[in-house]
Amino acid sequence: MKRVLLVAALALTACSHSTRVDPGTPPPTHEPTRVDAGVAPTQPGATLPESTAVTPASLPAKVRIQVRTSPQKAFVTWGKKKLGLTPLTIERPRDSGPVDLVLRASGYFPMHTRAYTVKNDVIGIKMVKLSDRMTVFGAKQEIPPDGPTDPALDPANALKPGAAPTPAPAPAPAPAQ
Amino acid sequence: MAPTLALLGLLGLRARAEAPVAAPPVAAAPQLLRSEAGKESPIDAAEAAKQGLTIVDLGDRWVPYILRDAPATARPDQPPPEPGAMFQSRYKSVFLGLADDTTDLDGQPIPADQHNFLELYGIPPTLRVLHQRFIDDTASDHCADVKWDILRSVPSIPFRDGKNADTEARKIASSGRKLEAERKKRGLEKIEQLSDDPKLLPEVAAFTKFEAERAAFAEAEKRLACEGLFEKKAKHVTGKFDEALRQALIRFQRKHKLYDGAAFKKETMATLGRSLLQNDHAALLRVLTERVVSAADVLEDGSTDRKEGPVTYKNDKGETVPLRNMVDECLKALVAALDIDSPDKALAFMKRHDDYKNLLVAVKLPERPAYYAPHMDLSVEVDRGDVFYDPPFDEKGKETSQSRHHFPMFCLRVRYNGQLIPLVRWRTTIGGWRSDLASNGHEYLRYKGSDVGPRVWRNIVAGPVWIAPNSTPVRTLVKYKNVVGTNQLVVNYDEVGPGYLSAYGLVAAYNVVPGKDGKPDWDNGVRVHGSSEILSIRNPDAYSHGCHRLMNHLAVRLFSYVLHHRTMLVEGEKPLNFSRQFLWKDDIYEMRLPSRGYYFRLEPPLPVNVLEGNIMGKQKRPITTYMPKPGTKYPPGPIPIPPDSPAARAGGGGE
Repeated sequence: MKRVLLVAALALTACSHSTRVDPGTPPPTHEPTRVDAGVAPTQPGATLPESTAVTPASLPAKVRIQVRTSPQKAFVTWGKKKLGLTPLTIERPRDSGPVDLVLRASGYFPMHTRAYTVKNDVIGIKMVKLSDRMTVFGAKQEIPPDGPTDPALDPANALKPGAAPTPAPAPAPAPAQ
Repeated sequence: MAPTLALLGLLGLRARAEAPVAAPPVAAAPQLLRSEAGKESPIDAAEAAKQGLTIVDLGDRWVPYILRDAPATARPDQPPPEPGAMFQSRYKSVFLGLADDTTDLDGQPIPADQHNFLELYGIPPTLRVLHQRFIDDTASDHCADVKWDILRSVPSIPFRDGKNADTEARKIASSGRKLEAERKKRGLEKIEQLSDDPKLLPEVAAFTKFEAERAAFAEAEKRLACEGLFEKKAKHVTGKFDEALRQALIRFQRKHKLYDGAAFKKETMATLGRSLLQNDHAALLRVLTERVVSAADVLEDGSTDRKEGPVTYKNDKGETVPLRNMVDECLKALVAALDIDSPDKALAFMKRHDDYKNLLVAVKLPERPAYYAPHMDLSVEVDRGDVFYDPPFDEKGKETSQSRHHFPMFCLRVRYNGQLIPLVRWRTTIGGWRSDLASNGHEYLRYKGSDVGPRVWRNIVAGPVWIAPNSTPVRTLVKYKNVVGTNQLVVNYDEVGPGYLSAYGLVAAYNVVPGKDGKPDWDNGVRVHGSSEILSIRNPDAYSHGCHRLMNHLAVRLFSYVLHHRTMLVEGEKPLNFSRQFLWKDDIYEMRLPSRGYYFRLEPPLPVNVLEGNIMGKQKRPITTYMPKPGTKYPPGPIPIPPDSPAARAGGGGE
């Protein structure tokens, strides 16, 4: 009953940009029938749960994934499978799970990427030269062999044994309201 | 712009935005049965409504409210959808496959004899899966050789392995020889009788305890084996707590929703001591709990009870009444209606039904309290409990104790007739000292705090995606995975989501300060979300990165309830087209995220207040600088300055 009231209210309050669920009227004096199932919470007229299929019939059964690289002719593997040189197109059943690819080219870092099979997709990859290592996020600044092992011992660092750490500034204020 | 998008532009290509899909074909008609005291008869929905019954979905296509389809509506930046088109959660089909033991977490098929066991992580099995358990477990007495009295004789078994275990065993053996000689000398029947001698009592107690635990360990091994929990290829050495046994124990705990960690603790031993059928019955009740809670739209689970009993409030007649445990009441009503209050009756029910695809039951549930309404005046309070800002080590790098007595608590309340009634109160988490990746590529410790003060929830996201901030240590962003016959490193999408292992769990709400006068909300990266990091919620020494974590199954209940009882908009999957590259060792990994998750918007937003808690220790304000990890080598020079974005301060990210 509650849901029935709710969907009735919905039918009257259709929104142009989003689906609006309006709680509607106060609860009735007797306990309403509550319907619970895999239906949209907003579906007008829904009185029974509906177990909906997931794959719409109108979509093609397969998706096409184009893999392109700069420069071209990177070798693409998917686990043990050798897929060939870029540019290439992979066909997979729709919604058959992700495809984890590795792309390799001489003089460049191996590149790991993922394709999804929910829709046709294009993956464009710019390969990174080995010499550009430090431009990639996560590259570590090297530690000299005779460098300090603990920054607390490095005079450049502020914290000293026994000294109270620098108090934090006041929490960042929320933007002006 | 994300690098991939930029490159697509260079290549003259354009990524297509996700569009709502056409309405799926109508599924087979559901089977609706009126159930009362185990007697079932067909009934139609109209008649069920007339009789004031609640329809509980026992079907295998059930998903929680947060993952359900919704009619697609136009988005501001998209053409209007086709008539009948639906918003579908990207994660829904994976959830269904995981619950039904048909697919893995990537949606890939799994062998018929493989089980997911994901109740601990918020995904209960379908009734089809439970039906098979009941049938398999009662086909023959798999556990005939288990000596139940021995298994049940000890409350727990300590972990014993390695040299210490060998030393202890030798010591006990020596003690046993000594006690045996003494028994013979005194002409007693059993060694236990020596405990009458106060001098021998401690040694006898230690000896008998060890022997009882050793005997129970052997029975526990048999018990795990008879339930088929050892991997086929596992090489277990009898009597040893080896990896094969540990994995079998973990599977047992996952199957039976036990939070004990990989150890023979109290709850685990109690569950091992029950028959397979008894445990199947318990599993059925747990699964039905989620179904009936969802059907009844209730949340109160007794978690607000105090030592002296439930909290009280004044009802619509002005009477002081206790807050009811609606979860328990509804489950009891369902159990009575289905007549499954014992393992044997549950087995009879399971044998009566062999097709759960579309099974629905109409049952009489207890009436809900008067404070229920379609739109409830709900609010959230998070108490941070005891808070330590001090670094977790002293000047010499030695760990310091920061024991907490008051733990962070999450509370959902409803305002009714001028009263603030707490509906649930659950353990949650706050932030603490965590590893952070600095600009020099090295990890430091940083205090990742939880905001204090009034906030709101505007968005609730099902199947949320966690966009790891740049300060996330890179080592945590990769993991080994079997890819088409090869075990290789891949981006750790399990933690990114969507999925039960996501850092945001199955569902999340974003704590924000609402923007006014057209200004955007202020988001400091703190969320309230489900989590598979169970121990971080239960362990007294564990912290989050700033977010308030909840058990996944509780988060699913909570947010389904909130969405049921507040005015909200379904916005559907929010396309993202995000990508980021990072270096790990000598390979580059590209993280690609096509969606942020399935969005709901609360209108009006729901108020949240985070209490400061008790500031413990010497440090009275959070430290904002990095702290070097004791014993770690770093490059020379000053410690880098941490980034000050909200995503970097807390572990959030995303919007």
